[in-house]
Amino acid sequence: MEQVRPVNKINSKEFLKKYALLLSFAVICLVLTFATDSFMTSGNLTDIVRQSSINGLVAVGMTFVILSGCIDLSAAAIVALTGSIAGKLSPNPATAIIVALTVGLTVGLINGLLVTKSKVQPFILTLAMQMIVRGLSLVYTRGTTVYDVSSKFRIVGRGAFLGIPVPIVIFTLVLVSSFIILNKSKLGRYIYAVGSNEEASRLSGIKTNMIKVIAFITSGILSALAGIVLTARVGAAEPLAATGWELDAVAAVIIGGTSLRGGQGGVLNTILGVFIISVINNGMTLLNIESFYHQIIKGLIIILAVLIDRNKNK
Amino acid sequence: MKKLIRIVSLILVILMTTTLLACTDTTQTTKATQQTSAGSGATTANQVKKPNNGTKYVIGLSISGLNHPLFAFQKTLFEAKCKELGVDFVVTDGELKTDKQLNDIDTLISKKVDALLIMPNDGKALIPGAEKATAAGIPVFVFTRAIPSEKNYISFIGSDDYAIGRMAGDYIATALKGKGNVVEVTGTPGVSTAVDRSKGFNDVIKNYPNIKVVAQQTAKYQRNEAMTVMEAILKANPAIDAIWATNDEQAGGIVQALQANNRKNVIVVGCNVQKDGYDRLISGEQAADITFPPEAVSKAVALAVDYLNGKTVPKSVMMPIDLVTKDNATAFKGSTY
Repeated sequence: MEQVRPVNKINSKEFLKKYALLLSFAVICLVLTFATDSFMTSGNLTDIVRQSSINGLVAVGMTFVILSGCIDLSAAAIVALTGSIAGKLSPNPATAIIVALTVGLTVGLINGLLVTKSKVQPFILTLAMQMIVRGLSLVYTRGTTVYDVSSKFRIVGRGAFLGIPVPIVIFTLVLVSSFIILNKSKLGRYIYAVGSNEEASRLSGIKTNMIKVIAFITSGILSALAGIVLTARVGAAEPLAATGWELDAVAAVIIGGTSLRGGQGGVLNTILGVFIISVINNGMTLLNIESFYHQIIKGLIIILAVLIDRNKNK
Repeated sequence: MKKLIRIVSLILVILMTTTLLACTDTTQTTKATQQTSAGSGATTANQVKKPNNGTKYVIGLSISGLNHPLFAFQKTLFEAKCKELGVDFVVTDGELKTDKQLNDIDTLISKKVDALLIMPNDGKALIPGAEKATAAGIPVFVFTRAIPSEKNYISFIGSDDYAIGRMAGDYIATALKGKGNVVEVTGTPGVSTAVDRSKGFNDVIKNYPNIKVVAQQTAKYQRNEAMTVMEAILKANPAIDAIWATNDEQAGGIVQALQANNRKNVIVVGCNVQKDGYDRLISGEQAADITFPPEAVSKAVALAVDYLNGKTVPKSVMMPIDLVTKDNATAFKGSTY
């Protein structure tokens, strides 16, 4: 016999399960507010959002790729390469931005073509591309940091638009556009379809290869945008820039609830993941927890977040 | 099919046996070399060595990584010095990984370089590499970071990171007149420069009861990381008087954070005297810097060539470290990178 449940009554247990991750995030923020004097201050919160705005771009790009059923481990390398290029070309900001974005697009295109034409696992291909792109950065910069980033260019990282820091404005625009594309457009539906069942999508006429290429190009362009903003913010482009960001991006995507298998999740999920990681990093520094423990704590919280999120589907 | 398998197995067995026998032979030759070189020991030179390949000496370089301004500059200095002294060279890149660096050393040993220069990512972990090279009769010269195994190298040319940390501590303690809040932003955990500079700094500061280290976090020698970490530290600590940045890359990020948070009159001390560090000394954004001479590598090349030419070389050469401030900065302009 089926149990009939009143439709308009929200079962509190179900509510907790569905929004478990969001609630956990709220709990972490609450704990930090009481544990420190500085967490819940406008200055610190702005810092967190501004810092998240940069690696958040990589995470959004990664979301596109993971939704389509692939992964892009070259994202952080693209940030570093395009960051150095933008840095060197910074006296002419428009040129710097256009060239950097084009390079990001090109690497994304190459990734997409390699993955779709060779049928080799995206994990391996993009890992190899990561090495190549990092190598290209070293060749381009001869291993040194690009220092003299022009102040005109730095407005992208340091300026404000209507009082809001430019990186946050850029990130918000990207977030909104990505949400619209993924949730309200045919392209978005196709991306989810390819990720959830590639064979069925192909049989129903969707050009699955092109969809995957588009996803990789998106990741490339957004990583390049992150490189531009990063160099503008820091005022220099170092060879080791963005080290580990691709794994942070994947972690953010997974914590947020997007499935690695593809076809499930979205950018709003990813944003939650990005903020959880940023808040944890910020909290550990505010509490002056010894650096050696940071990685352990971060890893434990990631496991916890994933378990909580998986539980909501049971 | 069965017959085929039998034949293939037989061939495999023969191949394996011959390989094993060949292996035993090489071990015996290595032992022999070990006995002869053990006589000369790890002290000074005796006779002129003939180049192993061709007419010119070949110097091998195993450097911890090439993706940092300091190391990239050292590679440039190395190549220039080799060219100046008329020797050939081979450069390998450890990619900041100990296992890669150990493999690089193996490669250089197989290439039979005449001398091996090592700048270790992790000195202790590279002791086996230095041992192997010494056993193979290749003189080892360690520079900039130490390998704690005296019998496995001819000379060490370096700067004392512990002394650098102490110098920073002394400067800050004096500038603060023994009272104030300080922050320490350390380098990559586990790397000897980060560990030693931190120890030196803290050994000095702990003698000043009125100086409080309010925060100590790592920025893993990355500029952006230093900026992010510093922003949070500034929010958590409204009163900060001085910051030991451990190196100029981090100092760069720290100064950004100070400016973004409108914090003035904070004493920032860096190290390495990079180009942007020099600029910050002149503009006043950074109070002091400490030299960490990349020229240690040039000295190492010179000593290696001397040794190969039969001259006596010292066991250890300490490159001088200097405190650089706005007042004496111009004297150091030429050696920035």
